[in-house]
Amino acid sequence: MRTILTVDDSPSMRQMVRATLESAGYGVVEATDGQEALEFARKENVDLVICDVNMPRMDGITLVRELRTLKGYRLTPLLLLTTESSQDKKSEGKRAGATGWIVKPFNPNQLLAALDRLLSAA
Amino acid sequence: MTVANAIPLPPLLELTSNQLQAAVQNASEELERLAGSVAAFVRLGAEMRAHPDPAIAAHGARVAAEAERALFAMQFHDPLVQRLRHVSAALGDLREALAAPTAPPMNLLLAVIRARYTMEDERRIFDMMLAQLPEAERGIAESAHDSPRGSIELF
Repeated sequence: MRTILTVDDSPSMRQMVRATLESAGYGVVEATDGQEALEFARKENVDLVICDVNMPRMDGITLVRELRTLKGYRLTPLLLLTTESSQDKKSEGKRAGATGWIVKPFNPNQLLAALDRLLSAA
Repeated sequence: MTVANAIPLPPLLELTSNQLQAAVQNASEELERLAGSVAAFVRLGAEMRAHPDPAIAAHGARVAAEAERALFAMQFHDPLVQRLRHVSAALGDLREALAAPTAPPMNLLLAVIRARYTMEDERRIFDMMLAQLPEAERGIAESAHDSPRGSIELF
């Protein structure tokens, strides 16, 4: 089973992302902010990461930058799922090493299709 | 003394900010329960859809489609909470500016408020309301390149 790490400080968003992923057969692990996600990633590898941008303690772009320094995450697809819609932020995310940028609200079917593409290519 | 000088604005701004934060907190707790229910329907729909009985699978497909629509619509909460937090923070900025011995320059205060925004709608409203300011004109140009809601871009 493919495992996806989802990172969001909003419990309701985490529940909705989890339900979408589990309905398609993915395993899901959750973190409530970038710091918690990074601590998890230092111990475990996952197949893909979906993370929010604006979070306490460590934001999503910093998390992406940090994950890219870890050996097990150099090629892992890292998606930023956010309300942030500015081109500047998106470019910052891309420079940090993100694989994609999703502006909330996410469409479950479109999200699953994107994951399918990324994980098929991996 | 003018009426504006007689009204204690800083504590009123703090009160309004605190009320907004309390509303956000209450709404978030309720929405968490609602999100749990919708998530359960998404899972139920997926399970039914995979059932060997074609009639149950067909019902499952309808349940899943409705649950997915609900899940999409329920995400209104996340941007709403963020907007309310930005409004609350802006009220805090105004309170601090009013309480300071020397008021900060207006353009600096506006830049701080606008920099918190994360959504195109927020920036557009800000810029429309303050269109006479040069900072706002720059903001409109930046907003034209924003990504639409629900978009997925793979790099």
